[in-house]
Amino acid sequence: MKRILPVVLLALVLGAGAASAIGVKVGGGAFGGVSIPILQEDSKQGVIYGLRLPVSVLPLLKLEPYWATASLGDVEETFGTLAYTRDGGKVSAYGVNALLSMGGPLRFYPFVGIGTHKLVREAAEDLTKVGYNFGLGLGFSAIPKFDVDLRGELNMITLGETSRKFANVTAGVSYHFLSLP
Amino acid sequence: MRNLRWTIPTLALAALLAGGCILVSGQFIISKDLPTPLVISPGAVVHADVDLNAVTVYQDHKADLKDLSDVAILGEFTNTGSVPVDVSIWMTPALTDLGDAASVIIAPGAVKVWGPLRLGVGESKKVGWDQSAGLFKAGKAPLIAQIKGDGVFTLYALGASGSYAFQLDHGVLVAVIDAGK
Repeated sequence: MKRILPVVLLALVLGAGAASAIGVKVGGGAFGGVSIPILQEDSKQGVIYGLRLPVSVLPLLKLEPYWATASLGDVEETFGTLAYTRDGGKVSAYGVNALLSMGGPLRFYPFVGIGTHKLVREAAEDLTKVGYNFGLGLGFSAIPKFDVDLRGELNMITLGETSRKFANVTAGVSYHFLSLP
Repeated sequence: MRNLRWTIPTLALAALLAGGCILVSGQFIISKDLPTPLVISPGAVVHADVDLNAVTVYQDHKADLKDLSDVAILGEFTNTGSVPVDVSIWMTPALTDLGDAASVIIAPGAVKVWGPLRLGVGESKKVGWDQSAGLFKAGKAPLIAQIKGDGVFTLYALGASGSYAFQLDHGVLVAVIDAGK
């Protein structure tokens, strides 16, 4: 967490500074979708949602501080003759994404990100780890100042020598509340 | 801008490479049925030999086993005695054949790994997965060491004190291993 916070703060400072310097848009948005654990037999598909703060810092580059939380599905298994359920856990994260975002009403963009992820599961030790995001997005602006985004991303949370990976598919909307010349 | 176009994919690739083997990793459930029923009293302890090498999933991932993210002992515990009992699970780090509770507790390397689970007189309790995971405390580390080691050990169910009697039906040891290549 201590390693990620400076990154997020730096992104915010750079974003705000650049926004005032080159005439860009600052917005806020929300998103939601599904989070699908990859190669994790102890969690099932769940719901993810969160908030984003997209800041254009260069003509093709957006920095996007975010907060997200995912509630993963419980695992149900039968051992012998008895059925059991294990809590699928929750993941909450905050960090920053960098988007290579083209202009225009319809945009197709790659993005990467880094964030602090907290994994919580009943009767298990809470874990706070660094995670990375890689993905592709499709954005379109049907109404001025409003953007709609569809994204697919791989979220990988490092656990020492292994990781927990998720495929997240989300839809979101954002509103550009600040435009500087 | 042409350089920038390659920046994000390059950063993503660098992050992936830095991730190394954590990319090819997963969490897998292994389970080992225990003898059923296990009928226990202080002077007549019955043990469960555990050789995880006979478990296919464990065999498949043993060479790549990095950590354990979860462990539980499941089953239906019944107090068949005339006094309440606090059930605990003890482990010896090899295959042993000890016949009474006192011998188990003083055996070399023996450690209490799970419990206590309180059972009233005549009470029967199916221990849930979440509940059982929470009953591993200080003894979890030695059990994890065994699973990460040769995978061979012995489990004993014991009462805390007195002239208790209980049995475990459909017992099973369940673990979630972190494996990565």
